[in-house]
Amino acid sequence: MEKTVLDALRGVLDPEFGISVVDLGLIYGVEVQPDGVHVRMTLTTPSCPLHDTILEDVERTAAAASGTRAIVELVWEPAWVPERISPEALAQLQA
Amino acid sequence: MNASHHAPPFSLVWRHLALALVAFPVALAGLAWAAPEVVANPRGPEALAVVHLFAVGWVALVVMGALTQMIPVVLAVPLASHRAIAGSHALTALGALAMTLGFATGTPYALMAGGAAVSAGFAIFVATLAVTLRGVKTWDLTAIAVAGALGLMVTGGLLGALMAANQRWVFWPALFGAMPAHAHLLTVGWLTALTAGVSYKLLPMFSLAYGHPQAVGRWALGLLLGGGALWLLTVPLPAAWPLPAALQGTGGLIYAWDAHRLLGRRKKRRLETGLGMAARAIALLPLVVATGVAAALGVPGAAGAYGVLLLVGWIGWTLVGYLYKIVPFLVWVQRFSRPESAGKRPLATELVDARLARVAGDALTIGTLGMALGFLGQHPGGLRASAALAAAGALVAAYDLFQSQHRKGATPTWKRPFSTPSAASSTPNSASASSISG
Repeated sequence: MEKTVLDALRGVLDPEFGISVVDLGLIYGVEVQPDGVHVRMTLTTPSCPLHDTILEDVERTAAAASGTRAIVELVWEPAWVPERISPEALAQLQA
Repeated sequence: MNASHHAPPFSLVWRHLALALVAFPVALAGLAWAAPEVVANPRGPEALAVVHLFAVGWVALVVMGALTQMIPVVLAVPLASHRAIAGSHALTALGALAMTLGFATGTPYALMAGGAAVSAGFAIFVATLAVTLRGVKTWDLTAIAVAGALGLMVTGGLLGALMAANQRWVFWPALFGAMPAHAHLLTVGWLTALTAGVSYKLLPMFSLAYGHPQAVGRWALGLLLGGGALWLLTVPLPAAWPLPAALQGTGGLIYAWDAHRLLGRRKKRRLETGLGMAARAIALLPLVVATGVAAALGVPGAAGAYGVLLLVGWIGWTLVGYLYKIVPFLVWVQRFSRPESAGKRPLATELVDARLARVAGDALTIGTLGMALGFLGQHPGGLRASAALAAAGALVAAYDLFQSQHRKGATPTWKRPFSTPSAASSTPNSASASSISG
């Protein structure tokens, strides 16, 4: 189930870079619990102007993929670093 | 912390940017039209009319609009008053028009009324942001730069209003020689320090260049702001000008070097038009400083070249560059952020036309450099042609940005990178994502 949700979250794109929140390394964890699927994530910066939009998209996508309630937990520790970007996404950014 | 929660209404920001995008090509077209007079007398009424339409109608309104959007979002504090911001916009816009007409027609009362309106608009804007900034919890480099620059903004505006009044009532003769102080307080003290300070947030955000140490940036901004304040000393003591000029010139060069280093850390290698223009503006700074030195040494035509490279080049290109990021983002949020738009959303970059953006950027670049050469060569024809080219570039940019409100974005979802769920993924990133626990 976690993998299903994670794969679905590859469809949630950052509107600025056109890269999924998974490939940007924003998703710290996906865990199915009795009360629903918990998604632990961060953003590239606390100043991210698309905070609400991205979180809503993640919640909606995770709920649809899991068929259950989705709870998104936004954390700032550990802080996001560019090294979390996947190799494929990095290759795309550096093209 | 929820940055987007504090975002102001789209209309409050857009009214500033839309009016500024009209003033931009008009000001440059005005320069093209009055080129012979401007070359003959860079401090004459035609030059002053063009400079103030450009500086207040275009630059100030863009900056005020951008700050209206960015301060609540980047510094995560709500604006103290939307109504006050709207009022300051109206005063500044009307004041810019009155000042331009006052200079162009030689009407002192229009000039004074316009100056008073602009000063009042600046004061209300700064006061509103000062109250807003009281809510800032973390005073980082950007927050300090914004606060310092705003102080210089109102100081420079008030000095200008005093200069206008002094033209009529002559209460302080020293003000007749205060133009360099007025110009540098605003262009280098306010605009450059503000742009540099905000860039330490925006460049990393847009190019994924995080982790850059800020120690050098603090020095650069300190010199730009401190030098700006010291320009006031030159009103009673004109001979003191080398000190603030040297401080600000040094600050500008240090910032250019540090920003270059910051961009070198970026993960996003290719810079599209927005960041490309901003990067070009940074690269121009050493030439701006060099022409400033030449102007101080009395090289013929250097003062005009310096003014063009500073205002149209460094400041103008930077603003165009950031508008190419800000406007598509604002429009995207306005049109596509609602849940019902999911699945039909373009990328923010698809709301502008890359080809038009390139044409606009190149026309502005060539036009600006041509104008500088026109001043240095004391060649009105060259200045006129270059200003016309720059005006055309400004018009294309304005059109492109206005059209972002109507574009749908053309790239089908299946053609976008990383847009479709993969089959079994073996990337280290996805493996670690599902295994990390809280």
